[in-house]
Amino acid sequence: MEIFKMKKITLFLFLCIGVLGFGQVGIGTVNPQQELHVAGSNSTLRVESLNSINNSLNDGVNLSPVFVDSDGNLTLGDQANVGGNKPINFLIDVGDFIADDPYSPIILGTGSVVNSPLGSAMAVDTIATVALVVPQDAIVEVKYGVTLIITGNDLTLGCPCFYHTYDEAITMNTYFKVDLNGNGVIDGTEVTNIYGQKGQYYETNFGGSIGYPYMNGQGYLELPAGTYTLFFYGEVRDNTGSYSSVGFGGAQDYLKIRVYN
Amino acid sequence: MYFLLAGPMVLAQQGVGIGTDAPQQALHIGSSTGTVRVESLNSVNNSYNGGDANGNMLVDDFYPLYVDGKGDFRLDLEIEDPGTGLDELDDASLPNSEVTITDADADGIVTTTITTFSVTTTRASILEVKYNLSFDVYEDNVGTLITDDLARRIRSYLTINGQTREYGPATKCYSSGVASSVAQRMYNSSTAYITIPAAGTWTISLLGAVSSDIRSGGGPGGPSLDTHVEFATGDDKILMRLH
Repeated sequence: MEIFKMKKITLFLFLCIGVLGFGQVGIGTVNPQQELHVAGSNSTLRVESLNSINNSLNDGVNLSPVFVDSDGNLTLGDQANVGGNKPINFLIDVGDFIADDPYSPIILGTGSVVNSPLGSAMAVDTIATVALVVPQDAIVEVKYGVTLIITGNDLTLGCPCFYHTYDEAITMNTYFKVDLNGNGVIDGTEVTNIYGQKGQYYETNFGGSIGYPYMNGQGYLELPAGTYTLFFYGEVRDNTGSYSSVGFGGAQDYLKIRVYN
Repeated sequence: MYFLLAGPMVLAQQGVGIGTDAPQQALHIGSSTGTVRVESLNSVNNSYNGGDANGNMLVDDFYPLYVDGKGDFRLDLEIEDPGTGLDELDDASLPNSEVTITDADADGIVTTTITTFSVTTTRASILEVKYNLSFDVYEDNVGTLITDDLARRIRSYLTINGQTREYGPATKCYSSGVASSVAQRMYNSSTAYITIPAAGTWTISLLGAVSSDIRSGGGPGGPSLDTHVEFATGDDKILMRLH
């Protein structure tokens, strides 16, 4: 008898939703607060298409995360996963985002060079720009790794390469800023909004290496949906009496950007 | 019928089945392919649904679903600290952000608690922490540059409730042989997943340490080397997310 009643109610519900439509539905409540309101301290939804029998992404043992697709459908993801993103929505995933030899025909693996010449205690320059489309309001995660090569003469001119001043420590920083208004430059408040800082020092005596240590940086920023340009910078600090030439990204570097959710 | 159209519809029985005669939950969708569609969560209506993010014209991009405190579905991510502030650790307001070791130090290492955070949980949890921590290295607290060409080790890590287990350790060395060197600005960065065993209020500490003696940790070596490290001198970031 109970089953029979449920059949009737189920049929009635189907007719109402499919044919007539109505404002709000309460299950277990006479005061629904949403279009569909399931009340009850132990009540929930069961969707059989998401269970382990019908969905290969549910292994029947571990909890499976639930996602929403662009239509608003509850899903466990694209089972075939052909041509689509996995649930971690990478926006950019490139293995070498800074050209190794931008000063061709010099084949040295300099990357983008920042020179701090005599008389300068600090030099900074753009080492890469990356266009970014953010499809939704989000916290955006930026992870990058950049190689370094350090010499005491201008790397853009090629070798012979000389050591930086022996025993003298210099420091190198990488970070990025974001062109928020799309005018193609970093200006206004964009100048002081700095993300993903990383820094290390270099010092050597005779026989030391000139490259390639890695800088692994991470940065998080909140962005509304839109199109942006990330400006990556390399910064070199040294003594004014020294010439320092640092190549950023001359070996294999990486950049991964995803919606952090 | 007019009443049903105008007012809320109430289904107060034990379960409602769609495609099933025997609902096992308050709402049970009994279909091997059918699911639930909530249009307020789709890419047209919800700015946190990125739609066709990969641009392949298919419905194959997916966005994690959460429930808020009322049980309502949400797509936006709310975390304890998104780490997006410009400078989340200001050394001017952190009285213990500097650490000094002298040649009289017995064990070759000095540690300071740079700052602490309080995290309250209602259950056993995992706390994800990501940090970028700047530091400068000198011989003393008036900014004398190191010239002995001997390596110092600068560490940072996290602890919970003062326990000995270290999370997210990051270390860099620094050395300098001449007074014309540069002593700033380096960064330690790391990611940690801290196990929180139960409900309660927990203190997360960010510690910094300097060691300047090959004897540090108990091995043989000479006396410690004068070193002064100033943490959080640049723009520092901390992201915290409770799982």
